[in-house]
Amino acid sequence: MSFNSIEFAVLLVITYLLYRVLSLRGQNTLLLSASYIFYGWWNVKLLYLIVLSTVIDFVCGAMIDVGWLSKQNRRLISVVLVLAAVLFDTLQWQAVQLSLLPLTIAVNWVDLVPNTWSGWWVLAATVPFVAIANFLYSRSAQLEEARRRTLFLVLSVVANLSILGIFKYANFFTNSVVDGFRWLGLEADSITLNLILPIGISFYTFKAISYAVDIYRGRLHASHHFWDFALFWVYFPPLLAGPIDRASHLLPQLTHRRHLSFQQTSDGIFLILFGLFKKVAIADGVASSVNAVYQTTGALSWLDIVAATVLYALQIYAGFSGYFDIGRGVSKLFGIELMLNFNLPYFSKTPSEFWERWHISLSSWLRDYLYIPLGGSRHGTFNTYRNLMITMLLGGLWHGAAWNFILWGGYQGTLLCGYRVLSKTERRSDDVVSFRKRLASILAIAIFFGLTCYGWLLFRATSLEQIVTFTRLLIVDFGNLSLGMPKPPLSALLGIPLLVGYECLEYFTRTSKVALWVPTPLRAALYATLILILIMGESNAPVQFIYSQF
Amino acid sequence: MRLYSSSTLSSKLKALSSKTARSRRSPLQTVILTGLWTLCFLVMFDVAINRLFPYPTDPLTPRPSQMNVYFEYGRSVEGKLARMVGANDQSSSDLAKAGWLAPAEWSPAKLPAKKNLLIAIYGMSFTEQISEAMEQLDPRLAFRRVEAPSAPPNHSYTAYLMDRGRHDADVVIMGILASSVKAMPTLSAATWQFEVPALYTYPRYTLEKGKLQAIEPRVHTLAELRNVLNDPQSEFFKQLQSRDAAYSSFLFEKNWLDHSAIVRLVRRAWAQRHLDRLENGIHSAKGFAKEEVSVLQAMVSDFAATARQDGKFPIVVVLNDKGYEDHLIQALLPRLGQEAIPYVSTHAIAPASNLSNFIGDGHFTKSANQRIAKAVLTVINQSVPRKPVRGQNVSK
Repeated sequence: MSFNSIEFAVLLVITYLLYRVLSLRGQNTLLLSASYIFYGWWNVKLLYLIVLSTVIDFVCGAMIDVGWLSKQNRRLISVVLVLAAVLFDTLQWQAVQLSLLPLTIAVNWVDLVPNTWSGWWVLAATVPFVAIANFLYSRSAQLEEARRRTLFLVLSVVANLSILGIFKYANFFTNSVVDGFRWLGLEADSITLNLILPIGISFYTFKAISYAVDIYRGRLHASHHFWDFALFWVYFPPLLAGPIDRASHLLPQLTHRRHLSFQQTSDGIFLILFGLFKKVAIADGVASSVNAVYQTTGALSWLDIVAATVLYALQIYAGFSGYFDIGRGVSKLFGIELMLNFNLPYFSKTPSEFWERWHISLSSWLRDYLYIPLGGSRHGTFNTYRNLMITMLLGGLWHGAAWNFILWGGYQGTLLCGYRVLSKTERRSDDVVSFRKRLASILAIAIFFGLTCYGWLLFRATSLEQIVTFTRLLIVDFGNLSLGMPKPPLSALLGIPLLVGYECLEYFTRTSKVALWVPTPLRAALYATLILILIMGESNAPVQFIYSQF
Repeated sequence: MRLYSSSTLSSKLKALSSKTARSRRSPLQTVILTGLWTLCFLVMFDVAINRLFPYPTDPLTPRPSQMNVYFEYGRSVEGKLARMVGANDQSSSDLAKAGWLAPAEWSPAKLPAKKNLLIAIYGMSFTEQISEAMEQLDPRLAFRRVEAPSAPPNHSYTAYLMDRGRHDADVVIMGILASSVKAMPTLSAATWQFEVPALYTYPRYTLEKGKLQAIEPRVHTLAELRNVLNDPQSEFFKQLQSRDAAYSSFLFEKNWLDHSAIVRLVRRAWAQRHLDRLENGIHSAKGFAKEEVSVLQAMVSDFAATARQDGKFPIVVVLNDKGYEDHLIQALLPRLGQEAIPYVSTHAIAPASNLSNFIGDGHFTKSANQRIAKAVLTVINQSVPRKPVRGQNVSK
């Protein structure tokens, strides 16, 4: 279920209306159910994976923190895991035909249970797993504290990275090994696992690791209420597009009574509208023009590549931040604040500023859980650069199992290192705001935007060969202004200047709530314009949200 | 260092905000006021669009500007038909008259003077452009062109069947366009070409026990359509409702909502989704659906068999246009190979994945058309002898 679908609108309206009349417990149960529906709509079977990782991290968190789990919780999670295996993986839900108008349910009882052994394997594996886990619990609870804490930290990290590795990277690595053998002139059989990539898997894996590490570092206490923890795990607004919210920020909001203010609701509605505008009118609008250039096998000009890459920069930003805005807006309707993930990234003047503005939750995660544990900038120049490169390469790999993502990470790492070298020689400037400084600042933004766009070229390219071809054309065909790329639709042509203008206003006034400052008629004019362009954009062919595959 | 720390714009906005704070309203009042203002602006936009970009009511007006057309895409099909169809054929738009299956009007039936080969070609603008390129390459060719805007295979196949015995062409060509295959479960171009509908009709085919069965449309000519246009209870509209997979009453039926530019934009978006659903049922990233492929293969087989029976040389031109890769030729190849039906696939000459083979409106470029035309000519020259040119000195 995507945020810009009719199904989501129906789910949101029903959930919101019920939410307003329920108590805290009821609200949490409702949000948990809505989150499972939201995720399961896409693929019911993968809900089991979510439940499994919820249980693993709930147990690991408690064992790292206090070293025990109540009998009631042990029973509960055992039952939940077995039930999840039955409900989400064993039962064949396609045997149930549901019709809304008129409301009828037809069940083909014979097809409801699997008729082959392979259909039972998840349940068959879950039951002994639960039994063994319960048996091992008493032994592990008796371990010495330091050993127990380390053991469960390692268990949590390994379990989460294994799930991510199997579902996201297994095919990539096996294929890369096979390609490597072929390159050496050796033949090797490729084993391709027929796996579906669970949507948002990278987001919740990182969330899981930060939860366990924060408890281990003593910055957080483990949750002892399983259903609240399950809600933290699967809470739907940040599930597809992030942010990678820390438990220390989100969990307390889920366990305490929420106050729904008018301001929050009003902000939320604006964010939903603005997010939809960005995703539907701009990101979906420019997608066909970008695809036409990046998927062609024919001849292209310099301008084709430049225009398509700039449009891709807008597509990825409008799509990602638009989706995030919708999620943040939806969350505000429930009185829950998500952390800010974007802060006008294309106004960055330097690589380090870019990473303080772009996908903030990922960059801060990489800083706190990778760069700093690696040593950060504490152990000399060489080690600092090494740590930066490792962090950015893994950050690139986080985006997907492909060499161009790693290359993109390497490019970003190089920019950061290069900037670090240059900034050491740069003279510290005072706070005088002069015309020359403003001009230099605008120039720096433009130059860095160009560098960012080249990074997006690496990111969007369909092959290494395309990267080489496009890079060569950017140099040898420089200034060729013939344009074969199809023109984006009207919604994008109107939406892009509006977005750029709005962000310029935000940047120069240094506020993120420009729309809420202006008088009501002006605000209403903005809303009406956004609605009009959004409706125009609704005729654009919907494009899958790019970051959902990460 | 922070730039623009003393932005005047920022302070102005803050001043505005403090003014708002002074006249603080209750949340409900603010919601209602903002809602009313938003509604007011939307109405203003609606009126402004209708004023700035009015669509000419006269069907004979030359094509209006892109913006005028853009805001009319979402008008109901009946609304568009009412504008396109005049009191008689003379006062109706060209698009309304295009594509009707009227064999009596197709020409030439005989080989014209100074020509040495008559080719009957059934298809759409793509085949028209290819035939024009063929004519440029070999001016002694004559063409009996039967075309309809974006004609689906049903239309081309029916046109061919209706045209049997009406001409002396030695070569018959049927063009099949990948992007029109989605229209196979329809009866009229008016339902699936929502944004700029043509009005022509054609039968819908199904396969029963291996034989093609036609569902004939209730309307066959523009005159018949004119008669039923103001009768929503007509048998034709009922037939579309029940037998045309692309029909949707929200998209088709004219009502007062047509006056609103914003509702028209909403309807256009709805149409996009409705037609996407239809297309997704017929075509996916893996190729075309089995059912349509079976019908299409049966059409191709029957086309080739009957043409050979009539002593004509059949050629199938498989037009793989943008967005369809080589899916169409992959679907047809088994049958074409099995029955040794001569064919030309554009995928081998101008692949859909190469942007430079297409112009902005989705048609092939001139050079791609020339390459395709050359390939078709090669197939013809290998198998079809030319007739002596009439009206030309033989000794010369």
